[in-house]
Amino acid sequence: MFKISVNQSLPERIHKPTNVSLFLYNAAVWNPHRIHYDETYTKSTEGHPKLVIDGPLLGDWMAQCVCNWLDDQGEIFEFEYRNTQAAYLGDTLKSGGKVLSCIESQKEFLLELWVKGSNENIVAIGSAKISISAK
Amino acid sequence: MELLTRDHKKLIGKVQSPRRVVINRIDIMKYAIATEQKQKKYLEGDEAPLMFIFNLFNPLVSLDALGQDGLNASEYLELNFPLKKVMAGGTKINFFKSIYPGDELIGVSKIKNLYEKKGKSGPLIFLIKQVTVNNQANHDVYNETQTIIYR
Repeated sequence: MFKISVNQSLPERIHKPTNVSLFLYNAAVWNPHRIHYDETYTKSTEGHPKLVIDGPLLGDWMAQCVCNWLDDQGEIFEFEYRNTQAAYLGDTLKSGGKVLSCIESQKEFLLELWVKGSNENIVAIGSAKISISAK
Repeated sequence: MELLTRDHKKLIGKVQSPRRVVINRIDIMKYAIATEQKQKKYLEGDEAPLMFIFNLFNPLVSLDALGQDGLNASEYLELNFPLKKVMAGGTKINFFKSIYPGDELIGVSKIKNLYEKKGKSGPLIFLIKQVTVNNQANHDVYNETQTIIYR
C-alpha cells in the first residue's frame, strides 16, 4: 500500500510555459481572452507587463503534482485553488505541495499545494483531499 | 461607492439552461499535450485529466459575439458590471467520477453569489458560479464552484 506521512513533501516540478504552450492551452480550453496571446493589447489596455499565464493552468499543475505522485494508487476527491498574483510569460514557476493531515485512518489525507515564482513568491495556492486505494 | 445595484443582486440564483457536452479522445489528447501531462492514460486520451473540465460548459458563441478583450460579450451585457476586466480567481471542485471519452455530460450553471471588495489597486467584483455536472446515466460527475473577478 502507498505509504503517506504528515509533512511529507510531494515532488516539485519546474514549469516554463512558452508562447506555443500558452497558445495550445488556450486553444484546448477554447479561451479567446487576449491577455494570453496579444502582448500589445495586454500591456496597453489591461495594464499587465507581459502576457498572462492562465490561472487554471496553474491549477492544472497543482492537480498534476498530486496525480503524478499518487500514480494511480489513490485519487483526488476534492480540489481547490486560487491565484494570489498574476504569473507572466517568461516566468519560471515551480509546483509542489506537502501532506498536511490525515483525515481518516491512513485512507484519506489533506494536502497543501502551491505554485511559486522564481523568488519563491506564491502565485497560486491550493489544497486537495485524496483517498488511497486499498491495493 | 457601491458598484453592484439591486438589479445586479437579482442575478444571484439565476440558473442557465442545461448544456450537453460529449467528451472525445482528441480533445483530451490536445489538453494533455498543452498541459505537459506525464501519464500515458491522459496523453493517449483514455481518461481526462482533472482540470480538463475548465471552460467545458461555457457557451460557444460566434466571432462577432466576442468583445474587445476576446471574451463572450453577451455575458458582460447581461451582467452589465461597471468593471470590465476579467481575471480567473480560483475554483473548488468535488469529483465523484472520472471522465472518459464517449461520456455525455450535462452541466447546469448557476450564479451562486455576487459581491464587491476593495483590492490593492481598486474595487473588485466577485462573481461566484456553481456548475453541477451529471452523466448520461444521471450519476454525479463533479460540482465546481468558480470565482471570477472583475477589476
